[in-house]
Amino acid sequence: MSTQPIVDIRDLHVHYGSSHILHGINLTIGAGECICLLGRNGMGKTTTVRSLFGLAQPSAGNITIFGDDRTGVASHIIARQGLALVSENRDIFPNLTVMENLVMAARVSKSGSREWSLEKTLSTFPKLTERLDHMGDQLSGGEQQMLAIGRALMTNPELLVLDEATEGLAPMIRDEIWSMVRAIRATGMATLIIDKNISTLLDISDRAIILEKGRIVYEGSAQELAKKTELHARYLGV
Amino acid sequence: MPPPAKKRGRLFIWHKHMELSFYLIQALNGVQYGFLLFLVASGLTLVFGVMGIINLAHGSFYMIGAYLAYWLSAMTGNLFIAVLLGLPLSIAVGFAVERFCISFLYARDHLEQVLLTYGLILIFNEGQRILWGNDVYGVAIPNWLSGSITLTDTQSYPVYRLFISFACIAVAVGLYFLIHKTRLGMTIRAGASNREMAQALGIDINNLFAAVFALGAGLAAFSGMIAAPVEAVYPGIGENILVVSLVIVVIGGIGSIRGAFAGAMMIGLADAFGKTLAPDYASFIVYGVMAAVLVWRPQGIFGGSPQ
Ligand SMILES: Nc1ncnc2c1ncn2[C@@H]1O[C@H](COP(=O)(O)OP(=O)(O)OP(=O)(O)O)[C@@H](O)[C@H]1O
Ligand SMILES: [Mg+2]
Repeated sequence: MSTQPIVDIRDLHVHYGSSHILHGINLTIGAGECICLLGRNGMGKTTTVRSLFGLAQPSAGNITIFGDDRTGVASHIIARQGLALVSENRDIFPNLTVMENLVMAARVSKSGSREWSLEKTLSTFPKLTERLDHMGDQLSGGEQQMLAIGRALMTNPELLVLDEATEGLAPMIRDEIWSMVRAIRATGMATLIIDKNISTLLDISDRAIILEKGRIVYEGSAQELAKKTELHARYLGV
Repeated sequence: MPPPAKKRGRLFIWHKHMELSFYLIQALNGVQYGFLLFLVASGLTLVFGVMGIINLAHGSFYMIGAYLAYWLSAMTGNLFIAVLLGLPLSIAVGFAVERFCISFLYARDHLEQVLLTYGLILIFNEGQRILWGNDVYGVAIPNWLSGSITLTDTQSYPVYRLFISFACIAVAVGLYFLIHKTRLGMTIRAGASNREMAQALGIDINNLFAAVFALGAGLAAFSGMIAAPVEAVYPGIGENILVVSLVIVVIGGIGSIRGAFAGAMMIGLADAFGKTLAPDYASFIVYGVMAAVLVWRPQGIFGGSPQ
């Protein structure tokens, strides 16, 4: 089972109404891998992630998780296979305290491990410790982001998906988030990261994928992409 | 305009013995009725706040509770055994209604929810007629609760009404504890504010909603059961309580449990004092209170702030 990929997406198509958003995406994520998904605004990164979590319905293609076909399955079942999402707009529960936001998500991993306990999560995000009794909507953007990541970790996932985790944050907070992401990655957890901060992202990731209008236009090692600056200009607008 | 007719019913009736004890008794009655109304309305507002469902059949669960209290206590000779048997039965009916009817409505608009749950009222009423007919039934107060507390030489207060208040307080405290202090309560609140994210974190929202709906049905049925001895059990009992509960939910702010409490107390007290001080206008008072609150706060007392 160690060689079995966590996620295997084959020829995924997604429509929103009559607009065809994803045109045959293929994506495999192995255990412990760190993959980054790049592309300009509106290219389909979030849509890819949403369909992986059963939040957008594929019109064609297959999503296999740990060898089982999970296409079109309810998102709580997908989450329980060991997938955790830090969504684009963070989606902190505003009417729950910080503590409750963490505790409501707590779950043992598929293999029964409880590695990410409340203590470990709080020691990774010490800022949250001072805010435990605050309501979710009383947090700053950076704190909300840390809470969203902490909440995802509380589910003890095999794969952590971060959609724009540093967007709209001050540079200092960004660096803090990145160092936490590196620490999480060092535990061997697989990660799929979407971000606009290309140089940091390519430094963290093993593999990079570029989406352009719902199609994969580049897939390769992150190190190599870091050198191919002409691709940055063409697909990433930098 | 013609001059006001002289021989109209007086607006206020002043009793001879209108002493402090009179006000005390009306206040106790009002508070007791308020607690009972809160129990019913909390289920209605919970189901709306968490699931976004307007459940017109909520009063039917109150009706089911009342008839089960009558029927089961007539069979067993004991109201408490009737509650112990009838409550799980009502909750099971609530669960089945959610699974086979309500669960198809989550993605649909309020009009369709209102149509379906109105249809359920008709079905439940027909079932009530088939099973128990159109007679009015009374339910005996258990012996040990049948006494009265003497307040003055002429006034006394029935122990059973105090019991209703305490039972409602106990259930309300339990409900507060469930929603605010348990993991299930956290997931209910999380699901209420962001269904999609709760699901993406592994919460089975369909099961959660079924549980919330069954809980709402249980609250209504329990209220109907303990109210049965002070209120006769009659056809249409469910609609009466539904209308008052809807008024309370609107007054308090739709989806707010705190608001349901405030609204229930206002209506309970207004009803108790209105019936004795202005009996000609008693049936209007509930709506008068609602109109006054909505002029003051169109979104309800706690409207716009969930929970
Ligand atoms: N709910 C929706 N209904 C219709 N179209 C949508 C919806 N959500 C996204 N889209 C469209 O789908 C396309 C892909 O959007 P998506 O959010 O996946 O892009 P993205 O790569 O995540 O962009 P960004 O970097 O801005 O987050 C866009 O053109 C967007 O307008
Ligand atoms: Mg996006």
